[in-house]
Amino acid sequence: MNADQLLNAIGSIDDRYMLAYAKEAAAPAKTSVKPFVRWAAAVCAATVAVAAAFVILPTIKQHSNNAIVSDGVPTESTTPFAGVPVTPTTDTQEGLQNDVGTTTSSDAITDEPTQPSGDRILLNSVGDFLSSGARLVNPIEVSENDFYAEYPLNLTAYLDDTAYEVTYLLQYHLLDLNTGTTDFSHLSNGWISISRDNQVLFSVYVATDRYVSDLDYTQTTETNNSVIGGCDVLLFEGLLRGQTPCLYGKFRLNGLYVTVDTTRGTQEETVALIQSLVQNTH
Amino acid sequence: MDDSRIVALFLARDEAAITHTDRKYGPYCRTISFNILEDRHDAEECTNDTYLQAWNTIPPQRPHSLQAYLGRIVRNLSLNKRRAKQAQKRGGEGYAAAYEELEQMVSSPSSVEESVDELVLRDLIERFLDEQTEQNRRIFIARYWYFESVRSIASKLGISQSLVKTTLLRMRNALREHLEREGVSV
Repeated sequence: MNADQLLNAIGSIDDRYMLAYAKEAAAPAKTSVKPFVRWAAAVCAATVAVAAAFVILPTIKQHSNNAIVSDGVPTESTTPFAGVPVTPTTDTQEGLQNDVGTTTSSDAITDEPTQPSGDRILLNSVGDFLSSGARLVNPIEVSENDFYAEYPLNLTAYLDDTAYEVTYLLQYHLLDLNTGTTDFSHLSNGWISISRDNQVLFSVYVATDRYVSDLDYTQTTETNNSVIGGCDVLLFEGLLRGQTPCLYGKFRLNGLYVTVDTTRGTQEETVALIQSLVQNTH
Repeated sequence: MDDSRIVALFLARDEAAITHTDRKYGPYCRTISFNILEDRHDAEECTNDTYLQAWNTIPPQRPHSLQAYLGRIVRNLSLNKRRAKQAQKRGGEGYAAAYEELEQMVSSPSSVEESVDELVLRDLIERFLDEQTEQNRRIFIARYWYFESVRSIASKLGISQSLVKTTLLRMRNALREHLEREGVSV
């Protein structure tokens, strides 16, 4: 008998043995990261979450409120994160980002109301951010390999009077193994799916193969892609936009490039995406 | 989402099955794969391959426990990948260390080439585990099924690293005796 045989035999034991430890196995290890890094990660998570409340939500709101229109059909009012009411806004993205630059998180916590007020959404804590529907997975505990955040972004777009739900699920690994630091700019994976009448028409999974911090949005990173579903998506060029969760890329479907940008996708881009995906998959 | 609903999506060939699988079991699969491969990119790749294999095998398979099913797939894929890279450097606290421990346990020169029926071996290991305390069983599984580091096991179970090491050493010795008593040369 050799070690491989023994390992294989252990691997084939009944489910009940392995499942007895499954919960712990899925949990992040606590001791693999120094306390300072853990503390820094918690601070980073809290800071970014609060910042996200000021940048991401208004950005998405602006995106969803932008008239994604085809054939004169305006969008319905959408709620980017479940449970968070969206009120019309006239703020520009730049204006909101400037707001972030001049407003500290403590200001937000102490001075701003929790409920939507006026023309923008205000979330004043990580808890509010999480309860809004955005999910930070394991926001405090840091491990070497399993600390990441997910941001679901939902849009409704219309094409030929038909409503399509466009969902982006962005997953971020927050810990850079190379440096041991936390960094929210590490877009790890992305899901894009197109649904109609609650039926998924198309779903593509994108896995980046590089983790580049502080990448300027004018640079491109060629990445691998992983496609499930048999669609002919051959190429993804990803861009990371600083600290703002986003997904930007060009997908090639049967020779046709489709651009996706979750932070500033235009109506033409969104409609082109849906057209291409639907036409190429059905 | 409940496992049965995810499996139903697989059976219906609905690609949302992959989305929900990743949401629910992505961290679990990545952790197992990373314990073995000790490379995040490889682990990510193996996790993706796991989803693809699940997609290709459900149906006809209808796993009772989706978690166990995915765990086995990702473990096997990761082990295969690790073995393929075996020529490369050894080291690390997860798979490599666990493998070396088992290698030392079965290093009897007279039995190097001896082949053992895997099913027989599996039954013997299960009987051995049944005789252990619950904590010892969990430590053993954590180390040799999930390839967790000693440090990680100690942290997750709230015990000292030295206790983990001591327990594993005693269990390996006990397993060797158990196997030899049952007629398996190790």
